[in-house]
Amino acid sequence: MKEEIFISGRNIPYIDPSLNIWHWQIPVYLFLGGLAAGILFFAALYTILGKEKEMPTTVKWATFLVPVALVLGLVALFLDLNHKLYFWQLYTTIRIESPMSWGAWVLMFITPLSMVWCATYIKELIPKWDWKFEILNKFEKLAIANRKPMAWALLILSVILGIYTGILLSAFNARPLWNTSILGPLFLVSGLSTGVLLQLCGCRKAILKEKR
Amino acid sequence: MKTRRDFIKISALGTAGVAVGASALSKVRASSLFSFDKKQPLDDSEFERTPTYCEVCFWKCAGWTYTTKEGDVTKILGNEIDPHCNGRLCPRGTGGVGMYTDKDRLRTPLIRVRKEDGKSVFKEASWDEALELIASKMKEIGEKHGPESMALFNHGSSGKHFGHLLKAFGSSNIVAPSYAQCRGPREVGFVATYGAGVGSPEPTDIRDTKCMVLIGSHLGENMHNGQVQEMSDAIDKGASIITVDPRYSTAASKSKFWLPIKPATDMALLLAWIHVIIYEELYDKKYVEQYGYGFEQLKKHVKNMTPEWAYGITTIKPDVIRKTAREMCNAAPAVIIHPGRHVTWYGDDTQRARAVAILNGLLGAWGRRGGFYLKESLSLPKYPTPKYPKPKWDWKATNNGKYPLAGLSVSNAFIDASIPANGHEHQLKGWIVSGTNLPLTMPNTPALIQAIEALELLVVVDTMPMEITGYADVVLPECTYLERFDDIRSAPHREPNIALRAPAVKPKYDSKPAWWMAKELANKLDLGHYFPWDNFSEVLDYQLQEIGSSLEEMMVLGVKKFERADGGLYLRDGEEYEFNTNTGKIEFYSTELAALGFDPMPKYTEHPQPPYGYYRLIYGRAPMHTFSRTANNQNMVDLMEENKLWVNPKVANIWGLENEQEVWLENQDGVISSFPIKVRVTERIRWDSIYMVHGFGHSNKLLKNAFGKGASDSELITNVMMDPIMGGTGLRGNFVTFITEDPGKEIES
Amino acid sequence: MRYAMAIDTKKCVGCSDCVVACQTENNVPHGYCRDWVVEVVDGSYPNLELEIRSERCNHCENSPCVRCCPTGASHYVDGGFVMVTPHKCIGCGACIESCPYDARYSHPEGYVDKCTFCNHRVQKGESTACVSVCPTHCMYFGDLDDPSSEVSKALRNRKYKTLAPEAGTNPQIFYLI
Repeated sequence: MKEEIFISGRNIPYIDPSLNIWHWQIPVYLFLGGLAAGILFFAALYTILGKEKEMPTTVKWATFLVPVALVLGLVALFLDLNHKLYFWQLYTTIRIESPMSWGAWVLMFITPLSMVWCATYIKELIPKWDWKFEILNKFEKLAIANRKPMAWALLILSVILGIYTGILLSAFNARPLWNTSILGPLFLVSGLSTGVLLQLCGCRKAILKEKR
Repeated sequence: MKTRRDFIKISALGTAGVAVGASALSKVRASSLFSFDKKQPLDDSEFERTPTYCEVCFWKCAGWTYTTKEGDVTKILGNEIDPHCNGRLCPRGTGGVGMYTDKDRLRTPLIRVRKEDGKSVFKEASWDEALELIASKMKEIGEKHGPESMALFNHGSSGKHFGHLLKAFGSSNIVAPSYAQCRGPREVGFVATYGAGVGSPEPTDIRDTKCMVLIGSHLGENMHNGQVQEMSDAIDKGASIITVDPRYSTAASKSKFWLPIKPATDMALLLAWIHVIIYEELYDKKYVEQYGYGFEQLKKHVKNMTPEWAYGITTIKPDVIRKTAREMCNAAPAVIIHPGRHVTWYGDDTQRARAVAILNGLLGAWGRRGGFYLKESLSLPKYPTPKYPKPKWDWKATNNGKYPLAGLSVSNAFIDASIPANGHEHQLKGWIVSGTNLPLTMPNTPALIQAIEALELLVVVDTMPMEITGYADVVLPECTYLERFDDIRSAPHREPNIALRAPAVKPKYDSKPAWWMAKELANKLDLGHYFPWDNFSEVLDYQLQEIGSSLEEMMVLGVKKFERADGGLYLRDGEEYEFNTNTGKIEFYSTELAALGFDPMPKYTEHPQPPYGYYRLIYGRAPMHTFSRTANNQNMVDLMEENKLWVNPKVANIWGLENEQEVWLENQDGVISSFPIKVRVTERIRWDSIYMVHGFGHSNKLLKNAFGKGASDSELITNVMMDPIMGGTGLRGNFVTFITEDPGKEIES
Repeated sequence: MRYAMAIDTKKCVGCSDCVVACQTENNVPHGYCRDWVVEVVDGSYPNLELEIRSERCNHCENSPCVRCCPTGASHYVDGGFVMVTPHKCIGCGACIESCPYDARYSHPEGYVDKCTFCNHRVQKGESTACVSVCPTHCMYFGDLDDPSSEVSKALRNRKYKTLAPEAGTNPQIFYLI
C-alpha cells in the first residue's frame, strides 16, 4: 500500500483537499466570451466578403447580443477577482507571456468596438432612433463609412478573444488534460460554432422559407 | 463529606473578550500606504528580545521572546549557546506564541458557588477573595487533619513556588505525574544498577555514538529537542540505529535495523541480547571486570535465554537478534541502549529498565564517549528563608507500605490516599493542582474522580480552562511563561549551565505569575516571612550574584555556561570510580532488589495479549504537541488539530474501515471513548495493535480549538499494571475494539 | 546568483518547525501556510519505507505562475526568488491554478501569497526562517552558483530529486534521497 499524506500545515481554503480557486464565474465568462467571439468573427468575415445584404442576421442583428454578452462576462470576471479594487493593474502593463494579459487588453478594445458596430446598425433596427447630440450623429456617419476597417479589426480581435482562454488553461503545466496545445484551437472552434449556431437560430425563418 | 463535586462549565461567566481586538492591530505600521504592506515581516531591529526558557514541554530550551515596540509577542527563537536547543527550538517552542495569544485563556480567578437548585457554577472573583477563600480552607484542613493533608500535584515551573509554600505550611506531599506515569521505572532501574538515575535531559552522548538502540522510544516524534538534534548529527556521521517498535516509527524509518516486535515482549529480546553478548564473549571484559558486580550470576541467569527462545516470544528471528547484538558490540563502547522516557508499560518496567541498564553496562557504555556521559549541573544557593516545619508524615506514607524503591512521590498513591474508602492511615484532604491536567494524565479516571469528590479543597492553577479546572473549588489563572519570572533553570548537561526566564510582556487579562500567587497566599496564611521579597526578581538576583553572575547579566545573555568542577565528561581508561550502589560497582545482580525480595536480575514475564476482536492500545507523541496542554494552541492546531487512529490495512479490511471514517473505541472494561476518532489506514502499525497520539479528545467546551477533536487514550486506560517496586502505572495493557455507530455517550461538559 | 534549498529526507523527522517558524516570521494568517510537510509510506508491514518532505514554493527557474500573471505581480527578483507584489495582484487566481506544487494561496485580504524564500532575511545575509530553526539541520539554503555554499556541497555529495520534474518548471528545491 502506498500512502501519501500531509502531516502538517495544509487544509488551506479553496486549495485543499482539491483545488477550487475558480468558481462559477469563470465558466460563465468562458461561454459568453466564446459566444461573443464567434458572432463577431462571422459578422466581420461576411462584412469583409461584402455579404451584409444577403446575411443581415449574421452581420447585423446577432451582433446586438455581443455587448450584452461581453458586459455580463466582464461582470462575472470581476466578481471572481479576490483583490477587486486592484483590477486596474491589468492596464498598467502588457505581458506578452500571459494569456490573461492578452485577454484583458483584447476585451478593452473589442467591447467598445462591438458597441460601435451595433451603433452603426441601430437605426436599421429602430428607425425612430435619435442620437440627440449632433456629435454622435457625426460619429455615426464616420463609423458607417469605416465599417470595412472595423470589420478587419474585429476579425483579428475576435480570433484572439476566442483563442486566449484556451491558451490560458493550457499554460497550466501541471493540470492533466488542460496542458495540451490543442486547447487554444479547441476553444476557438467551440466559440465559433456557438456563434454560428446562434446566428442560424436568428435566421431560422429565412432558412425555412428557402427550403420551401 | 462534601456533596458531589460536579463538573462546572466555566462558560456561564465569560464577560471578558474585550482585549482581543487590540492585539491584532498592534503589528500594524501606521505609515504604510497599503494595508497588506503592514503584514510584511518586520526587521529584527524593530523588536525587543527578552530571555526565556520554554515551558511548552519539560525539555526547557532557552530562547528569546521577540516583542514589538507596541508590546506584542511575535516570535520566539532559540538561544544559540543553550545546550538544550543549540539555538533551535522545536515546533512547540516556536509556536509558544500561541500559548500567549490563546483567546480561551483563563482570565480571572473563579470560585465555585452552589446555586439553589444544588448545581454549582463558577463566580468571577477578585484575587483577594479567591486567595482568602483558599487560605481559610487550608487553615481549616490544617487544624482538622494536620497540614500534611494538603498535597500539590504539579508539572512545570510554577509548581516550585507552590512547593515552597506547601513546605512552609507543613506538608512535603508534592508530586508530579512525570514520575509514576512516565519515567520513574527507568530512574529506579538505573539507580539499582549504577547508583545514579538518568534524569533530564538524558546524559546520552548521541552526538558521538556509533550505534543507538531505541526500544519503544520514538525520538523525532517525541521532540526532545537536544536528543533529536544529536540523532540527526549521528545519522550524518553514519551511526547505525536499531529500533524496536511494533509501529514503524519515524525513528524506525531512519534505522539500519527495525525490529517489529510483538508488543509486551521486549524483556525477552533484551535478555536474548544479553545472552548473545555474554556467550559470544562480546562484552567489554575489562570494564565489566573493573566496574561490574554479579557478572557470573547474570551469566548463569541468562544461560537458556537464547535468541531461539526469544524468537518464539518476540517474533524477531534469531539471526536478526544475533546480528543486532553484534552491531552494538562492534560500536561499543560508543553505543547507547536508550533508557527511553515514558516507560510505564507493563508493570515490570523497573526490571526492564534494569535489563537496559545491564546491557549498557556489559557494553561499557556508561561513562564513555558515544555512550552515556557523566553529567554535571550547577547547584544554586537558596534564598535565605526560615527553616520549614518538619511534617509529621511525608509522601512515603501515602504509599501505604508499598513501592519500597520509589525515589520520588507517586501520583497514583496520592490519589489512593485521597479516597477515604481506602482507609489509609494518612489521608490527603486538599489538593493544589498546578500545570497538570489530571483527567487527561492519570489512568483510571473513575478513581481520580472518586478522590476529587472526597476532597475538602481543590485549587487549580492553570493558564487554560483544562478539564481539571471544572472540578475545582477555586481556579487561579496563571499567566504564561512569556509573562513571568520563574526559577533559574539549572539542568545537568555536559557542562553546567543556567538559563533565565524573564517576562517579555505584562500578564494578559487578570492572570498572575505563580510566585505572586504563592506569596500572596502565604501572607494570608501568616507565612509571609517565607517570602521576604517584593518581586521574585530579587530572589533571582540574589542567587545569580552568589554564583558570580547577576540578573542584569543574565537579561543580556539568557544562558550562561560554567566550567565543570567534577572531573571529566567520560571515565578515563581504567579510572577508579565508585558507583553509588551497595557494592560500589555496577550491579548486574542487584543487592538492593534481592534484599527487598524482588528479582535481583530481570526475568521475562508473559503479559496478556489482546482477545479476539480487540487490539492493543498504543499511544505516543507527535512532534507538534505536548500531551494535552497544546491541543488548543492555534499555532499547533494549524499543524495538527486532532489525533487519528492508526489501523493496519488488514484490520481495516476486516472491519470495513476507511480513511477519515469516524469510529468510537471501547476497551476491555466496556469504557467507550467520549468522542469519535478518524481512522488512518496505514501500514505503519502492526495488525494486533492500534495507535493514537496522546493528549486529544478534550471535553471542555471552553477549549474552542480542542473540544471534541480526536479521542483521549487516557480515558480508555482503565487496566493499570502496577510496578510493585516503585509504584509506576503500566498503561500498555489495554485492548480496544471499534464501534462504528454513534454509541450516544453523554459528554459531561 | 541562484538561491536554492536542499532538504535531507533521511534526516527530516517531520516535526513541522519549519511551518510554525514561517508563520511567526511572516505573519502567515492562521489556517494558511506557506510551507507544509508531506509523508509518503511505501511497502507493506514490515517491509516499509518512509519519506518525509518539507515542501513549499519551488522558486522555479521556469515558473508557470510568473508566466501566467497578467499584471506582473508575480515576478522574479535577483537570485531567482519568485515574488508577489500584493498591491499589483488582482487576485485572478491564474497563478494558483498554474502552480504544479499548489504552493500559492489566496490571502484573506485578497492577494496571492506564498513562500518568499525569506527574501527580507536573505538580503541581510541571513538564512530563511524555516532553515534557521530546523532542529535536525536537514535543510540547506544558499547560492547554487557558489560552489562552497551548503546547498552546492550537499548536492555534490548526495543523490537528489526534484518534485514534478515532468512539469518542466526547473524547481530550485532539491530533496536529498
